[in-house]
Amino acid sequence: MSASVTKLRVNNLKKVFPTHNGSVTALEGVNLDIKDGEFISIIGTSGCGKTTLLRVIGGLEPEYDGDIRLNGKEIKGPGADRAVIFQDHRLFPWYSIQDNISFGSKEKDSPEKREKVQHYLNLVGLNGFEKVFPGQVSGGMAQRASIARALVGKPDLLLLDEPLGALDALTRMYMQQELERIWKKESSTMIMVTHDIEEAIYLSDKIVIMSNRPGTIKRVIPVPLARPRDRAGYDFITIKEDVLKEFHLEAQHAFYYMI
Amino acid sequence: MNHDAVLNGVKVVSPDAGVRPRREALLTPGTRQTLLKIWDRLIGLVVPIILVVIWETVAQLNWVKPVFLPAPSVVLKTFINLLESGQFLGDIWISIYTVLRGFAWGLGLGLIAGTSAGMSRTVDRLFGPLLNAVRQVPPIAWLPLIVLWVGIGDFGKLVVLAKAVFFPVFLSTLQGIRSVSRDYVEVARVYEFSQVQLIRRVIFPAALPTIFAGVRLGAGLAWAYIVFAEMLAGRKGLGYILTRGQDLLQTDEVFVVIVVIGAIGFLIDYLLRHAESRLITWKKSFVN
Repeated sequence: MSASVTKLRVNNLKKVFPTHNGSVTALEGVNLDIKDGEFISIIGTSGCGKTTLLRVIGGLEPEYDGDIRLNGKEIKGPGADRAVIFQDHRLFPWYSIQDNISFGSKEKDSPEKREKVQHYLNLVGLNGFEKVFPGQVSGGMAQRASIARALVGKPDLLLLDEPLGALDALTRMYMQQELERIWKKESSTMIMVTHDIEEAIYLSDKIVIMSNRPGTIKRVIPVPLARPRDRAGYDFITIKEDVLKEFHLEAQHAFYYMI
Repeated sequence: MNHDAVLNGVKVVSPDAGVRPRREALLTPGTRQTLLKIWDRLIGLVVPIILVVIWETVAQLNWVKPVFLPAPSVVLKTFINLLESGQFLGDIWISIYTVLRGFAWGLGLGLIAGTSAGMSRTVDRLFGPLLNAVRQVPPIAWLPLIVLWVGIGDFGKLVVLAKAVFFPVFLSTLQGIRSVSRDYVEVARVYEFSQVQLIRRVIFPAALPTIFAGVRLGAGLAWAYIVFAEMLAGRKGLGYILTRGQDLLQTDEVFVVIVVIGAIGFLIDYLLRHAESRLITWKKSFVN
């Protein structure tokens, strides 16, 4: 991981949605620098525009003001250099897991491509489920398949929109470990939107905190902890308190002390 | 699931069977399962058989004159006679053949028009209101015009049938495509599907269950309208035999034709349902 090269630069981004009674400014003055190989989490209350930010970067909202560059190239729409993982897995129910994953790559069908699909099937632990339809597997497994679909095209930047939000608490923690393993193995750059603070601290190099109306970046908190991280460790808890403070949710201590 | 079904099966055979150890049961669970399945299939025949028995009794006791209600045994005899004459099979085939062609035209045009209108708002705005107005007039009401323009020969019948099939297929295709979730389309955008890939991989499979509902409806209508059209004109087909039977007071022939029409209609729907479950395998994973 060459952690010094800028992968993605967001410069003075503004996104306005026109509605029939005036327009709504979803994002304003957003500046963000993401380095190659970084894992970034974006957290904020619902409606703060974090998903919009991710969608703009993904090219799903091509109309915006400002400048977004991936590897120095302006983002004008979706591209093979980015892949999005949605909260709901969004696999096509009429195709097998294997076929769904193969749609992540634009390559024509070939033995090499099939090998690649199999590689990512194995990577997310779905070997043996190649021919199964998405309706026949659990939510966690379907989300793994959608992760494999995103990885198979070898994107430069992986955008995750609350990818584990629909899973139960235990599956979720397990999938966080899996995500970390995949991120290390693929040495890819990932941006994840979440509202789970613990998830953000467990996975991220940096946590971007967004504020509401219009959505803008309030603070960036680095997480300089060694991996794998101990969710109950002192440093982990300290960072958690720091993040909670941003949302005015910190515990009221009986004693005040200064450092 | 399976276990429960087996237990239920035992209860049907004898109320205390559930308490008995399994190896004392008369039938192996597998056999019982098969018998249950067969019974499940045959249960629909019970009411028709009872009706036929009543009908035969009524006719045999001469409570109703044969010219109004010939006995089922007489109808069966007439059916065999008709088959032996050879002409009857030809009439059945003419009706089926005409329906197949009319159905194919209506299906093809309905799919093309439905897909174009579903994919393009402009096409929908241009043709939607006109088609909707045309749809409000039942196919039979168009008959005088169709007869005037092209006659009620083979081509006229094709037009009536194609129109009958076109609208259900067109509307279900349009609706099926419109109700495809935007979420899936977004995935297609992320992975840069071409327009053809979008239709082939996403839109069409997603809309297929809805489209099939229209296709089945259209097929049923086509089969109904061919009989109607043949009754009105021509000297061929099942509808013609029906009219002839009425004119000559050959009620037994009328009954034969009615049963044949019903059976073929049933068969058409069965085949389409079969095709549907073959084409839409993925939906089974939700149903079962």
